[in-house]
Amino acid sequence: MRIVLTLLILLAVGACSQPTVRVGSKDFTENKILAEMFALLLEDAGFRVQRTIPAGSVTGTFDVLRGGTIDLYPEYTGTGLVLLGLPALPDRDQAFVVVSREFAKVGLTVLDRLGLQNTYSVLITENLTTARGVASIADLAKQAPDLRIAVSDDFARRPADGLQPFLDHYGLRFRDVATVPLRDRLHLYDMLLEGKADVIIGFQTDPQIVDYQLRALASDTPFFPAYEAVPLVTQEALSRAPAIGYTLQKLAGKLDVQRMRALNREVIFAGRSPRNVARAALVQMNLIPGSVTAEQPDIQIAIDPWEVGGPIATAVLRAARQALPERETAFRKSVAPVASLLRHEARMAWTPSIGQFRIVNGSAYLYPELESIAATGSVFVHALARRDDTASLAGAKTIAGGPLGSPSHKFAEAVAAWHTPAPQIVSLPDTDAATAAGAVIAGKADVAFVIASLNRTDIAKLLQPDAQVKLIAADRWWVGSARLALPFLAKARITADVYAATSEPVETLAMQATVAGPSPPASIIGRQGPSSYSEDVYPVTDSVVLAFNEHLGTHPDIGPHLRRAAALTPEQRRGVARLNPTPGQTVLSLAIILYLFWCGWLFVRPRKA
Amino acid sequence: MTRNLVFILSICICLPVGAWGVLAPDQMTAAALQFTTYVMTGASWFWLILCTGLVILSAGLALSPYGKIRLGADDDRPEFSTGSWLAMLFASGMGAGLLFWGVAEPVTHFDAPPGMLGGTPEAAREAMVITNLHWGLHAWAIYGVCGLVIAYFAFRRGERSLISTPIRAIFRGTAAGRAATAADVLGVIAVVFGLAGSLAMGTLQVRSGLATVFAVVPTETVSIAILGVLFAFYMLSASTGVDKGIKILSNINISIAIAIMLFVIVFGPTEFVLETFVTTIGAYTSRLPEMAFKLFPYEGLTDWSVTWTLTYLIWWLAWGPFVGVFIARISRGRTIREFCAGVILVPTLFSILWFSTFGGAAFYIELFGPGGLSELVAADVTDALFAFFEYFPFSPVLSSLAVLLIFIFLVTSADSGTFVLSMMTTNGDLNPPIMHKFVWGILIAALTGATLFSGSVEVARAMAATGAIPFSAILLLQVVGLMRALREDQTEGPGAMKATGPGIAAQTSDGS
Repeated sequence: MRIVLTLLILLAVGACSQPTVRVGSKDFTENKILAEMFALLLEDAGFRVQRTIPAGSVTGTFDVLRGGTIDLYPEYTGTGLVLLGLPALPDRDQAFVVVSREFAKVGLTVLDRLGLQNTYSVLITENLTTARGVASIADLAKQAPDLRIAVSDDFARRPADGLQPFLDHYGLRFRDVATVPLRDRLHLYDMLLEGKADVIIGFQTDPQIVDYQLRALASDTPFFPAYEAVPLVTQEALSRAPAIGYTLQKLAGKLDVQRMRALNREVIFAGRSPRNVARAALVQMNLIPGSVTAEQPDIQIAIDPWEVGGPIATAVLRAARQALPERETAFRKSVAPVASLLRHEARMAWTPSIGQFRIVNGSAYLYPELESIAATGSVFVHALARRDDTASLAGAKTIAGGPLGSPSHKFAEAVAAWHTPAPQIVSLPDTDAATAAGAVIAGKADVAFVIASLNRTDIAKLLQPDAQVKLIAADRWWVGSARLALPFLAKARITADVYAATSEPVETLAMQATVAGPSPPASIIGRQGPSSYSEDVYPVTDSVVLAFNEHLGTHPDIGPHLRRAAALTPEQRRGVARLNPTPGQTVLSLAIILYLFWCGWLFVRPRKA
Repeated sequence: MTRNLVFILSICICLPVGAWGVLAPDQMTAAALQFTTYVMTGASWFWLILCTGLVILSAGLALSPYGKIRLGADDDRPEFSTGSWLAMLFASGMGAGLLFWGVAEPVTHFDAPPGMLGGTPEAAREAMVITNLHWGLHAWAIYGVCGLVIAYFAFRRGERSLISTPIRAIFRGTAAGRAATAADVLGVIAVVFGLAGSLAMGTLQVRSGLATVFAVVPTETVSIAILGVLFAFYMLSASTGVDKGIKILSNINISIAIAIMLFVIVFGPTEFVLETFVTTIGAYTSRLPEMAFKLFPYEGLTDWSVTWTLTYLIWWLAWGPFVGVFIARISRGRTIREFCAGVILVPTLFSILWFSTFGGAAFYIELFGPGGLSELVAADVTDALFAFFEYFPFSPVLSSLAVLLIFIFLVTSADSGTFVLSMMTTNGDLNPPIMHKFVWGILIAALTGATLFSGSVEVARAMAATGAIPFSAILLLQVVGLMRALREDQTEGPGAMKATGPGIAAQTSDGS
């Protein structure tokens, strides 16, 4: 005990002697990632770090630094020139030297450059180039009176390197200028793609430039200065803790545009937190200890391997990560996602709604262990048959689905139950469309089912014009009693333009794709206690369910045949059938009251003479 | 004679129920849980009023003139130093749950308080009040009364320290013997099942701790190995007697617990934790009268009460018989007032500090830090604890210490349980022979092993909780016996206390 206390006191004294460094950032993704990198490096070097991320707008953050509320933040040399009221300098080295010298005069130190240059880019869609022949800023000037430009409000306000000087420099006069707040800067790309703007000003490190194949317009008379990322530190902080300098030196020259784009993409598209992204990058660069891959994600979402990367799956992962910031959330590939969830391998499962049911004799029974957290659009039954085969589903003798427990296998079970004579079911080793097609071509099955979101990559690749398989109708059997037994299915049409191989629409069945989680345990007795242990898995918490649905954007409600998470269920008034709904409990209560009276009587009863 | 009957009847009831649990675990669990759920939901009012009544009773006893009565002869002085006494109280009465739920419970209530909006500062305040309602005065008042009824008769009156002793005095003629036997049998059953269930769960806790911290694959072999080590430790501890084994382990246990707590305070948000502590003392004290009687009939949240508050109360009642007897055993020579302060007030204050530390630091992470703990708690309480430690420096050391602490909690609980069972079946011998401890130690280990083999944690939970329901009826009778005896003490004067010697007369008359 005494030793422990002594140690603790020593540690406490040690902890207090570590100086605190206050790290800030501007309010956009890249700057936040860089600030987190600084913070993590400093923490690794033993500093206590206080994060103010983000601290404010571009000029706001600088004011906060000058005001002494933060000690450092990531700045760009070009912006530094503007903040100091100096003319733009297109030469990188010159800009760095001037900025360093001038900042030093006001008590600030510019540390070594990170190697990253992030200048403004004038962006248009490839469309504009082909339609109007715009290939450079000079071309743009000719067309400008017909075009609309959109920029961030921050850019619009910059006096020396902002919108007005930019327009003046090239003699541009646009039909319309729209601005969005800096924090919503990425909305510019939506405006460009949706045709609400023809030209936007973005950052060179924005991942959208590559992803959307945008065109950055060049000019022979450069306007924008060099913007190289540097740590900007107060001299006061450096004299207090000189180690800040050589700690951040580790990052000098380590970053470039490609890497920064990749990191921005992780945050913007994959929804990961800037801190996690920064940590992973530093580990990868061997700047802080840790492992890149071994880290087990905290929260896993089971999903069909072929759905990963698709638009719905990406939206689900992104929403989950936004609902659970700071927890590593990742997909766990599983051909039977619900089975993974039931085995507690994953916290949630993305599954076609048929996966939430057990199919017995053609009827569906909901797993009591599951509840639905969100519906995320539809998935379609793709029934594959040989191209030269004229047979329909009704005549099939063998039908194939994925492995036992997978949605397509369950669908095959349902189909088999509603056909006479019942076709034989073949279990395929995975849920890949190519495997299903292979089985059909090899004659192992007459029809093979793949349940997938529309235009899933494996199916799109398979159904090329030269395909040996075709899609056939899969909806005819779903009538009468079958409809009542499997109410979560719906008639759907795959139009001819979806897949290259189809020349006419195919009638099929669709169902909701849902995110499922564990339902509350049946026992009402809690799992807690002085020495209590329980393997019960509790439902995804209400706040996460609500946040998840919010971040998912517009999406359908969960179908009536599924069990909704409590947070999504509107409050219900319990209908009272009788004035005393539980007579048994009345008896119990009366017995207890009698017992209490008896105890009272025992207490007052006079002692035996 | 009576002992044999008690022993035989207990075995006759324990063995078939145990066999049922091993042979048809699902059926047994379903039956036990259904029974417990029905009684708890159907009579939720009774459980809350019973436990609140015990809080009021112990407060009343401590403040009334009875408070000066010494549990022992007037010249008796406490057998153990106050520090060791408190350490043993805590180590026997609390289990590893304290560690796990220290983070998990405040976070859960903070995220979803009953009838309130979660995630707000008000929710944080409410969460601390609710948590301490569950771990504070109510818990310790149950233990305290269970202990007091035994200690008074054993040390003041020189009678046997058995569950039945206070009850025997209430009844007349043959009814006394029958009631006493029934009480003793129910007591033994409650202890056996409570202990075996708790040990099985404790073993699984250690296992999941090992799995999380040292990546040991959780298999049945590991469970049995843990049980084996546990068995060796608690038999070793039991064979040395209360003043060595349990005392030393309890002191180590409480030192580690305090060390972890101080570490979290120092390296966590110190100021925030201490502010939480002070705020919670105030909030708990002022809200207690309301919370101690609070059910949710208008909100339709009876289920919440059962899942949380009543589950805790039933646990404290389930542990009551053996923690009570053990507390009585180590409390000889203290006055009732001292007893109530030591058994109820001090541990409650410690609980408030403990939950302010772990819960407070977790709130800090949720409110001002990255957050996300509540989802981890819902997924897995063990993971949540170790994820919480990840926020601190030297987290591997911290996690290893936590696993060690879980293990020692288990050993001390098993040790005091074995000790109490031996006392109960040797007519209340205060230092039961080693042979008896071995018999019960082996029996408990066998039952625990069987529970582990049945593969269902639910069986353990069901067994432990179900024993508490009949015991609560016994407890009421014990209280009646105690109150009658105290009343007679006062009305008849020193004559009634011949058993403890002549020195008492002066003191009680001074006191009253």
